Formats: sequence, C-alpha cells, structure tokens
Amino acid sequence: MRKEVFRMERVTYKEQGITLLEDFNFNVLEGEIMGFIPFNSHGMASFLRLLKTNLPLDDGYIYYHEEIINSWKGAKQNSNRITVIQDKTCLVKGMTVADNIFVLRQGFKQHIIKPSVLNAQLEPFLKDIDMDLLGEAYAEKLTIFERVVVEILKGIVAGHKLIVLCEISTLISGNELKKLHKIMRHYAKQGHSFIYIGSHFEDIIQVCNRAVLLSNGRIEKILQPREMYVDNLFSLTKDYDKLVRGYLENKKAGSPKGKLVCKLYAEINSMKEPLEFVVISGECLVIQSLDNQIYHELLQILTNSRETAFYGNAWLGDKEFRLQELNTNRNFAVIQEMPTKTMLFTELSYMDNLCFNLDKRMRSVWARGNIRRSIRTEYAPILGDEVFNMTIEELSEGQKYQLVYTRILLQKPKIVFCIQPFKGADMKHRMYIWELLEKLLEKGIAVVILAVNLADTLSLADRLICIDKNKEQIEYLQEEFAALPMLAPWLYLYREDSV
Amino acid sequence: MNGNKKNPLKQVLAIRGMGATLTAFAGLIMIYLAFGLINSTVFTGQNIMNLLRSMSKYLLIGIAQSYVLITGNIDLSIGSMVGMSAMIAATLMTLGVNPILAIVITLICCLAVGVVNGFLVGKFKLPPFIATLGTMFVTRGIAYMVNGNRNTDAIATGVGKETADNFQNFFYYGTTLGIYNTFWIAIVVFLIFFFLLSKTRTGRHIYAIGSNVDAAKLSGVNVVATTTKAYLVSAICSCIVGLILCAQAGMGNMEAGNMYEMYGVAAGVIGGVSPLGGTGMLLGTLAGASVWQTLENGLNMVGAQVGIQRIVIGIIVVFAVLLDVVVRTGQIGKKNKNAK
Repeated sequence: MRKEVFRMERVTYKEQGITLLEDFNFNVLEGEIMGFIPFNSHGMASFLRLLKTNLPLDDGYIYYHEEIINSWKGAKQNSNRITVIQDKTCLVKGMTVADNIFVLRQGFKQHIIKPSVLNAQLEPFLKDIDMDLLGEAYAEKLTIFERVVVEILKGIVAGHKLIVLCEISTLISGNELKKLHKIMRHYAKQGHSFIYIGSHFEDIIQVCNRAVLLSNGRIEKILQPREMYVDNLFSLTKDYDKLVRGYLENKKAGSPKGKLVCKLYAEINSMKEPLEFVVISGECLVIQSLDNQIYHELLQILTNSRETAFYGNAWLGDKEFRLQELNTNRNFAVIQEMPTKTMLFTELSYMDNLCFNLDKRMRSVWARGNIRRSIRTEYAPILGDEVFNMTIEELSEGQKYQLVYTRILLQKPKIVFCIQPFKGADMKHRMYIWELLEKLLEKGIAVVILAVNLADTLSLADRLICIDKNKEQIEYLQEEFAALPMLAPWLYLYREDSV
Repeated sequence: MNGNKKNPLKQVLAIRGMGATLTAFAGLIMIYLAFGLINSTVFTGQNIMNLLRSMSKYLLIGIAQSYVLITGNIDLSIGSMVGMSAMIAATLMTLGVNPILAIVITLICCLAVGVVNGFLVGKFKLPPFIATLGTMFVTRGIAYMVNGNRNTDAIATGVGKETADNFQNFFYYGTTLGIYNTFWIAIVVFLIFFFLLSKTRTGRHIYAIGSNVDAAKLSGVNVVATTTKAYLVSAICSCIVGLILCAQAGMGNMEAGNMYEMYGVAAGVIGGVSPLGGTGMLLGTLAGASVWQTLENGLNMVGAQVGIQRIVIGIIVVFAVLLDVVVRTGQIGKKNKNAK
C-alpha cells in the first residue's frame, strides 16, 4: 500500500471572520501528482499559506508524513518542509544556482564554501533530469523554466517530499511544459509527490493522477483516475460554455469581413523567419509562442523594454511605424498580463485612471471638469456610479478589469495587444475578461493575444499563429482548429463541429 | 444621478493628497496660535510680512522637490543649484552684465543641470539619489569656480548702485500691495506649477510615473521627457531661489543654498507629498513650507536654541513620513485576526 504524504482532514480556516477554506478533505499519496482546479480564487492564497506555514485552524487536522503537523487544538506557526513554486521566485538574486540549492538550505553547516564541490554535487541531479544548466549561473539570469526546475531541485535536495506548482503553465511555453511534466513524472517515480494547480483541466489531465475541484474554498469533487476526462467538468463550466457557444454560433451566422487594420513585421532573434502577420478590424488573432525566449522578445517589443536594437515595423493603413513607437501611438494599445496589478495607477483616482489615455483625443480633459463629468454620466450606468467614489484599492477584481478595459475602449485604438489576458484569473473572472474582450471586438477593434498557454483564447480566436524556436510560423484558421495537434481548452467545441 | 449628490466635505477629501494638506494647514494654524499665545509679537504685521518673505524661499524649494518626489525620484542637487545660480548671477553682474541678461544666462545654466538630471535618471536609469548626488557636487563645484573660489563682491560694483537696488528690490526688499515681492514671486510660481500639475496632461503623467511607471509607459507616457520636465521645474525654482539669495545679500555666496534640498523634502513631506511617489499636491507643499517657517519663526520668538529648533523640525518630518508609510501600507487597524 502506498504511503500517504499529506492529508487535510475536515480543515476549516477563517481570516477576519471570513471562511476561506471549509471542510477540506483530501490526501496526497507518495509518488502521486495531484491536480488542483480552482473555479475561483476564494481561499486559494490561504490554502498555499497553510501548506507553507502552520497557521491556527478553526477546525480539522493537517498531516504530513502521517504525523499531525497542525490542528484546531493548537498551531505551532512554524514552516513546513513543503516547496511551493509560484509566479514569484524564491531564489536569491545575485547568488548562483548551486548556492541557492545547497548553501541556502536548512542544515548546511559548512563555513568554507567551495563552488567546485557544489557544482560537482549538482551535476548528477542535472544529468538525472537531462537539464543543460550551469551551477555557476546566477539566479537572475535563468529563464523562467530553468528557475522552476532549480526550485524543484532545491526542494528535492532539501528533502521536501511534497512540491506544489502553482499556475506554472501560464509562465512557461508548451515545449517547456512538456519537459516539466517529464521531470515531475521522474521525481514522482522516486517517491516525491506534487500538487499541480492549474485553471484548465486540459492542462491538469496531461500529468495528474487525480484532481481536486475547488469552488468558494470548498472541495466540490475529487476526480479519481477513471474520471479524468473533460466531460466531468461540464456541470461546473456550463455558463461559460453557453456563452462561448453562443458567440461562435453568431460568428458562424456570417459577420462581414472587416477591413485591414494593421500589418506587423518583427525580426526576432530566435525565430527562423521574421514574424509577420496582418489583422483586420474586429478580428481576434492569437499568437502562441511555444518558446519562452521568443515570447520574452515579443513581450519586450510590445512593452518597448528591449535594450538591444531590433528591426520591426507596423503598418496602420498606409502609415508605417517603427515598433519602438508602438506605445506612444494611441492607435495601438497594450494590455499587460495581470492588468489589475500592472496597469492601474493606485495613487490616482478612478476618474484619472479611466481618462488616462483620453488626453490625446481630448486635449482639455484634465483642464475642463465638464468633460470628465459627462464621461461619468455616460459611463456610470455601465460601470456603476459608486466606483467613481472609490479608491483603486477598494475596487473588486472585476471592477479593476472593467476599469482597464474601459480605459482602452475610451482610447479607441485600432488594435489592442493583450498579453496573456486570462493569466492569474479564476473562472468567474475569466468569463468576465472574455466578455470584455468580446466588447472590444464588437467595437471593431482588432485584438492580438500573445500567449504561451492558449488558456481560453481559442474561445475567441479567429486565427492562431504558432511560433517556435528556429521554425517557421504556422497559421491556423478557425476552420482548422479542430485539427490542432494539441490538447487545449475549448478545442472540443471545434471538434464537435467537425464531427 | 444619486451618486453625484455627495457630502461636499467627502468630495473635497477624496481629492488626491487633500487629507494630508488639510492636516498640514490645521497643524499650521495650531502652531501659529500656540506661538502667538506665548509671544504676541508673532501676531504683529511686520512679523507676518517677514514670515511670508522667508516662507517664500521654502515654498519655491518645496515646489522643486515636490515635483521630483511625485515622480518617485529625488533631487539632491537643489541646494547646490541655488548656490550656483546665486554665484553665476552675482559674478555676471559684478562684471557689469545687465541683470536681465544675467538672469537669463543663470536660468539657462540651471536648466542644463535639470536636463542632465532628467536624462541620468529617466534615460540612463541611474538611481536618482546617486545621479543627483553627482550633480550636487558638480554644481557646488561650479559655484566655487565661477568667481575663482571666493565669494563675489557686491553686485553694485559691476552694474551700479541704482541697477543693483532695482534688482535687490525686485527679488527681495521691494513690496507690492504692502507685501514683499519675494512672496509675490513665490505665489506666481506656485500658481503656474499648481496649474501644470493639477490641470494638464503633463501633471497627470508626472503622477502616473510616480504611481506605476510600467503602466505609464504602456499608456504612451514618455517617461524620459516627463522625468526631465520634473527636474526642469526643480531647476527653475532653484534658479529663482538663487536669485533671491543673491538679491538678499547683494552679492554671491558660494555656500548659498546649503542643505536646501533637504528643506525641500521637509516642506513637501510635511504637506503630504509622498517620498514613494504618486501622491501629493502643491497646496500641501504650501502648507508644509508655512509649517516649517512658522516653527522656525515661532521657536526664534520664544527664544529656543537653534539645536532645539532642528530637533523639533526633524521630529515633525519623521512623523509626517511615518504617517505616509503607515497609511500606505494600511498598518493602522491591522490586527492578527487569526490569533485565537
């Protein structure tokens, strides 16, 4: 019989009187990869905190290696020997990979550090998982995939038997994800266990043995190995499913083709040929980068943060622009990933945030209060009047998304580049983002989504361009989605049609 | 619309930085009344006039530093720029250059320093503390070198007594409507930069880069240009203060403006300008400069030693910053709700 590595038994956890986890019951066996699919973010942060630290519980018990480590009777508030890997790295910048793995671990007693010895100790670990990485490499120079692998190795070396990976598929490319799955399976075989948190079942199903479905801080269901197929999720996603089906059917009914909005050409170092595409008004084009380096180069181009010179042009109608001018041209807009955290000015008022991009269309927007008042009157029924009196911190996550997208709508760009729009959002907010993106498309704005992970993008996409290192770009039209050689959310809708 | 019918006080308080500004003004009134009760000379017309005149320098320096602080940066070269401005203007005038031309040349020199600061911080991404520390030494060095490592002679020796008097009256000793010109100059500068910060696109961009520089960049804000504009405002104000000091002494002093950059920080911070960027208003800086000067004036009047004055002012500055940090991190009222 397999040993149990971790168990939560009837765990109820509250913060400031709000129940964040309720009657949590699940276990992780030795060598098991357990999937976690949260339908909303309620309680997820607390769940991760409870894994890392033994905080006071309102009810229940937590076991690690079949021993009680936390219970409602009393909490030691100490840390658990569990590795949690998230968006934010726990590696120390300015230190090497070997230092991070060996020196910065509990129980490292040596006073004199010999890099050559540490590197020699690291080598078998790297060879084991077929990773081409130097022990002397500095943490800040690592790619995200390398960083994730180093954090796994850090956990393994420290003797942690449970490793938690949180939304990793939104950070690394498809090719890297496959490699990561291979590494996870390798260590699972050696008896290490994983909790793999992801928003999409299609992602979870590829690597997990079982999966826990969470909603509002409660476990809705634990899918056993024989139940690991997509249909099991329909009951929980039916509203979203209905929305997307309606949208696709309307689209099929035949909307007229829009006019050409933009042509873009960018020379990207790691691509065999320059990236080149055109978009028409009201079209949603998804660019999936299967390679993280390309993704980051593209990201730097879009955010104008690339330090080295590059060549790239965009044509808006007959006008030609350098890609470096993208951010300053109001016909283009960029929505960064996780915009509620990256795109808002928390110190400015709601109105200032809303009108921020309006000043090139209406030069006197800041000088004349009547313009802002008329915007408020016009948008209060849509956004809610109360939001105008709230600070940015007081807004709900949904209101923040609405603010970012409405700001773009007010700007009236011809083309919007969205960087991983669904990243970090739970089911409720993904639906909301989907609706906001649809609103942009409805207004005739072309939307170009840049993603490493397709997430919900296929539910909106008219075309998909896949780019990979040293390969030519491959373009798929919507009619060809059914034949896509991958497992991605919403593909079943296209496959149903093709049957 | 129902939501528009709000409590007017709430509406006023909802304006960014207004809470801190009103607090500073309330503090100012209390301090003034307290000193007035101890020594009634504080309430005399002449004292008020003097108070307004000496407050003007701090107001201008406060405006200079506030603009830079709101962008999330700092300008340590303000004091040295004041010294440089005083020395260049005085040296030119002692050489017989017309005061207007001397002012223009001085302003150009200060603007050049502002551009350098803006580029070092905005374009080359140097930490503002280090970049402006460098220009602080450079500008102080220029102040020393302009007249061969010594203070200038009286400006009247170069441009004549009448012109020198006109210059000194315009910037320091003269009055308009019974109030010293220095105050009017400061108020005009204040109104111009208040309008620029609160009613123009540039003003919003200054707040935006202090609040979230990446989002500002993605929204089409030219970060280099906006940062440079903030440092230019700082340079203009420093230049004017330099001219005021030159007019006050009737000569150029190499040490003029020493430590003024810190007075600027104090005036801004007391008035609610956040040293972390993105928050604050010039009305607050006005209140901050007034608090500073009233304290200095009041403590003088009640016979407090200089050391005591510095300690009191230092405590107030630390308290103001602490308040800002506490409010921003929301530490007030935060309790460990998990503890059973």
